[in-house]
Amino acid sequence: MAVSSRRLQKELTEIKTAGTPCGITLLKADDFQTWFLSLEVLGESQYKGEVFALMFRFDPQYPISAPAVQFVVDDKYKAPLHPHVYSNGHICASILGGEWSPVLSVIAVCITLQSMLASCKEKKRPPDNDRYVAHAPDNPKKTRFVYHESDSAAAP
Amino acid sequence: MSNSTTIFEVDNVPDPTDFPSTDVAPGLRELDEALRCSICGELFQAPLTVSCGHCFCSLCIRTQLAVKAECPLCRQSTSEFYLRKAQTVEDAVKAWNIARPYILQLCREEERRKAPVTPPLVDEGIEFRSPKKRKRSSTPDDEVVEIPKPTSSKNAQRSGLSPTPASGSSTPQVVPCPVCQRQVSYSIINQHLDQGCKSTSDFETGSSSSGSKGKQKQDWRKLFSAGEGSTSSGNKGKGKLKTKAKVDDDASPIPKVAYHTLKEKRLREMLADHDLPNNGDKDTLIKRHERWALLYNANLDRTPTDRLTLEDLRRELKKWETERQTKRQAVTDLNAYQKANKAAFNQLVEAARPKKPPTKLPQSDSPMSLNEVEEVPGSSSLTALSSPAPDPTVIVVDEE
Ligand SMILES: [Zn+2]
Ligand SMILES: [Zn+2]
Ligand SMILES: [Zn+2]
Repeated sequence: MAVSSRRLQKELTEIKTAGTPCGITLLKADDFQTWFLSLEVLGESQYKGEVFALMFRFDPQYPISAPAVQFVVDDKYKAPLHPHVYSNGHICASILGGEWSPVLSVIAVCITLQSMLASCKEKKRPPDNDRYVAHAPDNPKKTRFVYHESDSAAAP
Repeated sequence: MSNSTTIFEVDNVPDPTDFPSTDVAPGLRELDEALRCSICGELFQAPLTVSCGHCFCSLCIRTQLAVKAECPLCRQSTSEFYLRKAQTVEDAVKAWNIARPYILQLCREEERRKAPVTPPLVDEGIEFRSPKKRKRSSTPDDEVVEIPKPTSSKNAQRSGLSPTPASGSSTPQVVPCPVCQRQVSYSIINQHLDQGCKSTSDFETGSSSSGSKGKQKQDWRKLFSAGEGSTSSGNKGKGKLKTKAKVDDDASPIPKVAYHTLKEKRLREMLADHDLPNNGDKDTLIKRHERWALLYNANLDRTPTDRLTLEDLRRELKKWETERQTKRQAVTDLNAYQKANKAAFNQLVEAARPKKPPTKLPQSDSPMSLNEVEEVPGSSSLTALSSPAPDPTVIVVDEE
């Protein structure tokens, strides 16, 4: 069993025994390649009543290599309207790029994204949304995001 | 890896939740957690401390520091230069590896003693799925029988629980070695560990490696048959492997290599010097040598008596290469599956597809190509798992 699978199995056991934090639910984890979790912001926020889904994709180097994480965009789910979230579901968050650490986990990422949404002041797309979405690779890990304090931008 | 049930049944991955929660068995989970590497989640293997004092497996932290020169836990900047052997931690892990199955056994006996009426729902054969079983202590059944915890645990100690774990009916016959992950007979696990994970038994199941044997690279096969053939006519040569020299006390680490300055020919020579296959393109050669250096140097961080043989390390390297290939294969299968279900996915694929041909994509030039995880659109029918365990033999209490 690959190290990445063993590590994910441990995370799964942890989720199943300790449960997930409030607002985070495991939707689907049938294998060690792709997981889906749902995310909502509890309490007062810009996203009250909205439920989002996150897709995690893992490669064999996980957790040394960060998972590819994006919001699911389909007929059931939409990407949250947020200055760091593109309409195709791609997320500009340093924790998913240069600030990833192998001690982080799927749940840790969910919590970070949850608080990213919770602290949102104004619901809007990143300024370069249309340009980025038109050329975005399928895998958000192939994008080099430039991280700003407030707004985000994908560097070509 | 075709369906989830297989994955979750086949592999028993030990973790702190194997132990009862802290209200039932104070400190055990925390102890198990404290002796685990926060990168891989395994009990420390050849633990090293970083300058900040945090501890990781040698292989884990060496691999990570090659990516980023900071402590993964506290982000204090550091480098390989500051790595120090954590001998005391290694000793503690060695003892814990031996004590762990015994303490788990005691916990099971204790649980059984507390709730003798409830017949175990878990088949004894897969007994050490105990993390889930333990959850039964919070099921209504147990809540009915209220036993003051401190008293009962004292009773358990006084009642003279069998000192030899072998006496319990639920003693696992075969346990995964916490160090090398091979399946080892419980009765010889100590011996196996003492001998530094050499093949001490017939109980070590070759299932994981034998399954992939057919897919072995030609050159890997040549390599192993050549190595073993020279000392033994048998194709397994297990006995001979034991006599293979362990890595010496005074062996020195493989120095850093500036791969980009090297010609492919030189790379092939370097791999041949270590008796490694030297087929493949330049990128494959670099990856292979890089990984070999990591495995080799991490092995030197083990106590000399616990070191793996070079033969073992080559096997590890081969496993690593195979995993990378299998993973790619698995995702190809997923793609095939999605093609077969095209109607359902059409909409998604459309949504996920860039509106223009991706001619000038923002591409990472990372050498670790992620091609294998591309083109996996999300499933359109996501529903919350009412029962998170697809495996009926695993008892899980759904905590809402
Ligand atoms: Zn580790
Ligand atoms: Zn640290
Ligand atoms: Zn072993």
